[in-house]
Amino acid sequence: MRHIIAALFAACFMWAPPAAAHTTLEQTSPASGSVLTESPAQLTLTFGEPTRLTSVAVATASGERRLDFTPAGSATTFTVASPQLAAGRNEIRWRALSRDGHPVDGSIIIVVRPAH
Amino acid sequence: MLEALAAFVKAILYAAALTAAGSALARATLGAGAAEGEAYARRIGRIGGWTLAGAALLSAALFVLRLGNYWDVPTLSTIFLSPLGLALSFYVVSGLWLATGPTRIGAGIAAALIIIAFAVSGHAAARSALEAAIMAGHVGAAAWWVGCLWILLRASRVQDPAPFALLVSRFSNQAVWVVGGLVIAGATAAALLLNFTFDFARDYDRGLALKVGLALLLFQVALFNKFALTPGLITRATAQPALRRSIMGELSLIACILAATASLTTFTSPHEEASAPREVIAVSGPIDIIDPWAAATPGGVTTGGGYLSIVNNQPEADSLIGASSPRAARVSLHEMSMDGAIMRMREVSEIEIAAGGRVDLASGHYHLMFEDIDAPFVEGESISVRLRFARRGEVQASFPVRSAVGHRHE
Repeated sequence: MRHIIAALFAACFMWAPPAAAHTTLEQTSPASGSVLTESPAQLTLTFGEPTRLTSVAVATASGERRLDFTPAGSATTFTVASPQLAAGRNEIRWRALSRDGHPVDGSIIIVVRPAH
Repeated sequence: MLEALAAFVKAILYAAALTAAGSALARATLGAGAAEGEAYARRIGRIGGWTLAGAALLSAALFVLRLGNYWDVPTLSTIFLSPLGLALSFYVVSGLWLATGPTRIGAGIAAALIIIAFAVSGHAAARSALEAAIMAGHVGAAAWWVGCLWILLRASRVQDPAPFALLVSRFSNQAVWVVGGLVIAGATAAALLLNFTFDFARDYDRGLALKVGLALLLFQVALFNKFALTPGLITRATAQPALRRSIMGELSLIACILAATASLTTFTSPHEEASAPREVIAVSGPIDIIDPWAAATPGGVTTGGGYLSIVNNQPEADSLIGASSPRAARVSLHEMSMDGAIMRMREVSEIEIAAGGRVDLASGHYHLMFEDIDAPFVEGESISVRLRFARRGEVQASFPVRSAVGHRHE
């Protein structure tokens, strides 16, 4: 009996799938997958519901760099002024706390290809 | 791994919260006339309180780790200056308060604070004040039940049959109402969270079904205790040890329910969409684009493969005659064929799709070839592609990048 209950207890933890991506990011400007000739003047992230953004970082071949964003606290739209993206592929990784208390994260890709 | 640890800590937090708050509630309703129970309630309140405060602090630290391990102002203020932070601080304050072994009134206030914390943050709290209040009722009733079971477990060991039977009957009479309320509040909260639609394809709904199944098992045991064991407490000497074992069974089942709940609230969200069907129609219309994807490219490689299925819903045959993408200098149509053991690849000018027909551009047959790409295709991003058809004209589709394992492109 004790073993059955122990197995049941373990099963209750394991029924769940690996953390599903609770993607609440509705749109970004520029959109993910954009190919630009120069770094955008600003970057905006728009979420489907009020969210608390905690970090935005840009990862390139040369490493990861944190970006400052506004506003602090709960909002649906966040702005990164002058992200200064480098030529090549830029992965912008964001992390946030959703309204119902889930850590959520994701990334968007922006390629900067200077005009020849 | 971090998520699994978070779920485990949350299960401990739930158990400690119900035990700590429940000890105070049970003390208020069962305590009279059971001095032994009163002292014991205080003791389990102390243990539950310490555990709750510890689990809440650990949970806060895990949130920082899960948000990227940035111990900076944006991350810390997000955690602590949000409903989540309010709930966590309620747990810590009331846990530490109960750990000091307060008077009955102090314990009652601390218990109320714990129950309110469940209404401050979470899936129900994020929706409406009504749902938060219903959740508080559900948690309060569950806490009372857990607190009573701990006291009864202790009493079953130390009390004589007569006072024990009296305590059990007092619990039993109260439990009818409290557990009734627990079920009504739980069912209402679940129905509201799911917007009155149950979809077994959603992870959240499956988890909730598991929880309901375990709860039904728990009610079976509770009913067995009430109708089979309790009446014989005074007359049969074996009834008391049997009831004790049964109460341990009930507490174990509650632990399982809390584990399921912790998984439910950590890994899934009722706000999420049902998991995607096998085949994704990316674009529908005269031409359907199904399951488009591009293969991830290793660094240094300047070509990549693109795959999709095309359904022609037009009354006449159509042909894919070209493609382009901002990510590649050129996108060509290729056909692969086997000549004995030798694989041959050649560029084709068009791929015809019969009226009402379907063509799969899959690995080993037709596919798109992205040429002269200047940034590698990485899993998780999407490649925008414009497909040109002879009749239909241009169709825009987004090709998510997936690992090319087993689909190596030459």
